[in-house]
Amino acid sequence: MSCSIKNNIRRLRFDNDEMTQQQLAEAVGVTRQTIAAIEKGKYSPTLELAFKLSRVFGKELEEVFTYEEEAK
Amino acid sequence: MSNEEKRSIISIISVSLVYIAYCIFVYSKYRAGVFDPVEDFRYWGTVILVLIPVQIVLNIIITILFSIGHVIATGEPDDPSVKGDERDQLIKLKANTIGYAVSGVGFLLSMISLVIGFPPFVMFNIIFLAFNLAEITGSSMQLFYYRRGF
Repeated sequence: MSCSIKNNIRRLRFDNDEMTQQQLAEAVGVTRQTIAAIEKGKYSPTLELAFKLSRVFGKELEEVFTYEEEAK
Repeated sequence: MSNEEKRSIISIISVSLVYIAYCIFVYSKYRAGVFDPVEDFRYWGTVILVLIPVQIVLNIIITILFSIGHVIATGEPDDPSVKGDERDQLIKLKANTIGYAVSGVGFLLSMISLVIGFPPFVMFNIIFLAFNLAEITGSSMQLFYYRRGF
């Protein structure tokens, strides 16, 4: 099952001194499993969490998350 | 496998164990011809009042054993009282919704059994089955959502 919101969190983590999922999870206040699920596209974060993730990387929301229309 | 997934599996196992023990107990009583149409309601009321604390105690014991096993295996403390993050809460909410639906359907079926003329012990057993199925369904859905996402 996949959602239509894509993200490049994994790449951003590696670009930020190879940040681990655990470090990112602690920075935004969620579990490592949630970060893993977001990266795999198995979970769409809430707006608040999406903003927190963007702020950690110093990026705008649209630079971290993209919305793609699913083909019908 | 995350802690939440393990807890879901443990919940399924503990509920199933209690229900199997209950079924063995009821079947033995049924074979002995203990059910009395006059005393039925008092008997089943007693069974419910006993079954609930038994299930609670068994769940507590299994949770404690799981926490001890978790600490021994990983060296990290396991705190089941932790609220969980937004994803954990959302999964729990979705799973509980499905569990409530199952228990609601079971309750309706139990009432239908009375209407069509089955004895009261059938109604009580359908209710027990529904509540246990609801718990198992809820835990199974949690496992499903953790594994497959949503």
